[in-house]
Amino acid sequence: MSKIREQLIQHEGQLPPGTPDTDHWIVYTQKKTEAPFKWAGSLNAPDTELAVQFAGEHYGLDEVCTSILTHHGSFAHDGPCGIEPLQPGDAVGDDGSSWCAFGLPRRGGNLTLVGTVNAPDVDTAIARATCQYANGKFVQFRVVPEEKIVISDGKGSLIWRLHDMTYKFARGYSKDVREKWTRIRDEEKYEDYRKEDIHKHF
Amino acid sequence: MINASNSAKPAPTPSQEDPELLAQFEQRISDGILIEPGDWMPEAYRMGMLAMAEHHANSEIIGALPEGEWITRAPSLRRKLALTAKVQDEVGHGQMLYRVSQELGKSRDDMLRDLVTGKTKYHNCFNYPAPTWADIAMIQWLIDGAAIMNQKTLADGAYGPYVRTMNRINMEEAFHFKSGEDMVLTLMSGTKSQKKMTQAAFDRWWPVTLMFFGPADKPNAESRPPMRWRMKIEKNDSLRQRFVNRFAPAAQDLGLKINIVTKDDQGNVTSTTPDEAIMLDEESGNWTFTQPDWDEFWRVIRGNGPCNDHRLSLRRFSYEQGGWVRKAVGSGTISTPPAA
Amino acid sequence: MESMLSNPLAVRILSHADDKLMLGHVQSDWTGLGPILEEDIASSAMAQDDLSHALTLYQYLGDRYDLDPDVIAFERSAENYFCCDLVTQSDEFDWAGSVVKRWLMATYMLIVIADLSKADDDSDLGARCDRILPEQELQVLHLQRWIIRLSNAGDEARERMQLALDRIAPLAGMVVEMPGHGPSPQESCLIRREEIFREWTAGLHETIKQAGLNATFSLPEQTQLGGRRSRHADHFKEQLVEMTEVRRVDPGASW
Ligand SMILES: [Fe+2]
Ligand SMILES: [Fe+2]
Repeated sequence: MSKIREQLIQHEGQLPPGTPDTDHWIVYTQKKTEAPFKWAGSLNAPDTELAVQFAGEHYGLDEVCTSILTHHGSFAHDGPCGIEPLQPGDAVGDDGSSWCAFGLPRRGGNLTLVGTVNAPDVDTAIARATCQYANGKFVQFRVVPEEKIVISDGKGSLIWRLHDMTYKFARGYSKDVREKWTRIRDEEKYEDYRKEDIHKHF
Repeated sequence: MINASNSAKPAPTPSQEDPELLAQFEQRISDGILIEPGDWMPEAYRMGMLAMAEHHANSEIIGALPEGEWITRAPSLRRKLALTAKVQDEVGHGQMLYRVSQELGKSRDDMLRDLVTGKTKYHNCFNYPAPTWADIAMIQWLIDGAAIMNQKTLADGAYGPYVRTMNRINMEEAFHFKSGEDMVLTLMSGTKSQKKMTQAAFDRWWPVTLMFFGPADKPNAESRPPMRWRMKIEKNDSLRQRFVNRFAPAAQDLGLKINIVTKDDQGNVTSTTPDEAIMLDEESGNWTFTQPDWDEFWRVIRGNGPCNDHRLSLRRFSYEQGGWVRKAVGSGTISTPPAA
Repeated sequence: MESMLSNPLAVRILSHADDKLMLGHVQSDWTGLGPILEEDIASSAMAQDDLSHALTLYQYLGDRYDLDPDVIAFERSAENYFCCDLVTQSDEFDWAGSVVKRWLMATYMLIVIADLSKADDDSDLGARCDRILPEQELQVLHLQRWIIRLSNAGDEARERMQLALDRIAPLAGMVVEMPGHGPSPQESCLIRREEIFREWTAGLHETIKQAGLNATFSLPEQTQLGGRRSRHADHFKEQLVEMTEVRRVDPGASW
């Protein structure tokens, strides 16, 4: 192993002063063109440039990804979160600027971009998003001014890589593992053992 | 993760909270309704979730260290790539879980500092050494296997942001575990020296994995906050039993012997005797087993394990060494980015 | 192995693959120790890109010479590695050094891989290079931005970046050294040695200007011998020993 890792480094005195955290950015990814953007995670970065790069190198490579949508955390405005799916209400209207609307399908679920609404202010935007998109399917809406959203579609600089990335996914091993196991154990016993796997991810 | 309550600071006791709000909160939890950040929650719950997410995040980034030692030595390009990606995933888990914690009110910098000064803890299992390549296989098979079992239950918890994050993390744990299985299977189908190396690594990691789930639960665990508030879902002993039921027969089928071991201060195995307790109890359907050395567990958790100092000093090195970059990034004025 | 090592094109491909292997080897070791978690993840992803590029080039050679790519990667003797000295240098976990070195190499690789894609009538080689290139561009962009960002972020950061550049720039010219053992290399790469050097350093100077740093790069005498001509620094042999530690436990075993 490298020398730094091998040695027991002696530290003296107090830690040097810390640094304040950089800003909070929220990241949504799209698995294929036409698929909706879904919440992927968040990160810290000082500005859009780094936020977009960091988002790509982390959330853009965790699973298949064609596009990434990022916005500063402060531009996220969340409506109330219901226990039951929200009723649409009657906030109709089309004046004002454009907002992206994200719906939360259930508590503990992932926000999904459902479309845009025009509205003069945050509250109206949330009400109009609810009216237009609730349809018994969402417990909460988030709106973000459309102009504050950055989308990288991988055309300027690559997101998903071109090289063989099967080494970093379970499916890259599943066949080999099954083959190796069934040289030792019968199928039934193997299936029984496999029950504790997280099936949808293999 | 376990030991969540270790680093929790004093918070309002339930009696100081508004009784009506508290009753409504507890009702929601017992109805299986998840808590989202905008909801009212007792201060003790917020602090508890913060401590739990922070401990989990700490464990991810310290957990990157023992395996990180082997990236430079991985025996093939594919294994080198896989191990790099695996360790990178753990850093990513740390990043995501620090974000969950940051949103509960503590800055990342404070968390990184508290970690390297020993104010907060990380998972005990990373205080053990990984002296051979087979240890990497064992960590990914046993420790990531145990982590999957634990994190699957945590994804059933009550705090929305933690649940979301756990689901995302578990997707990657599937890779860690499959890669570990593949390595263990390869080694145990390999040469005599590979099998010997693997048995030795198994002897080191089997008891550590039994400890992974934490000590036996307190008798009234279900009615105490971590479980009552669905921060923790399944009892330590029950998870441990499920783990043994799955892995003891698998290890035996692979040709691995389950031993009771003694270790020296460096974590080296000094003696092994077969664990005669390992057998399937037909009646309960459970595998019986010998408990690990819980005195050792407490010794290591108090800071006297084989690698505690090593892990923290390397983590502190990284923190100090990177300080100027964080300072630069936080304060920099950037000119227009160059055209690609 | 012998026929591969005596083919000039194969040696040229090896030199690029070896550069990538060593770049990825040194940078992947940073995983978990980076200065910022987000950048730790990003630079590890790019280390994986480099290792994957090495693999794809070794695979190409493996197919042609009927060799296991891992055998090519790990089982040559030190004098049959043709990487340059810049990539084998340890950065001692100094982030400024890491960024500067990777930026120099990434910009160089962009030129030579594009060149390699046209080197032969072989469409397989061209296709492999074409898959590497967009990932190479991503690295260049990422690292250029870091160079500019850090150099404009206050005195301490600028000083560290300048120091790293001062330390590394004198080694840079050896990157265009002609690889191989032969005494009079008459291969396209050498004919283009000066052209590549000029194209490469012109690009570097543009970023250096934006970063407000100073550096001069010069083309070494052709008589000067370095890693590409098998004159590796001692630490390379240590790296090779470390890299093959597990394989040597049980030669021929499957891992
Ligand atoms: Fe993890
Ligand atoms: Fe993991």
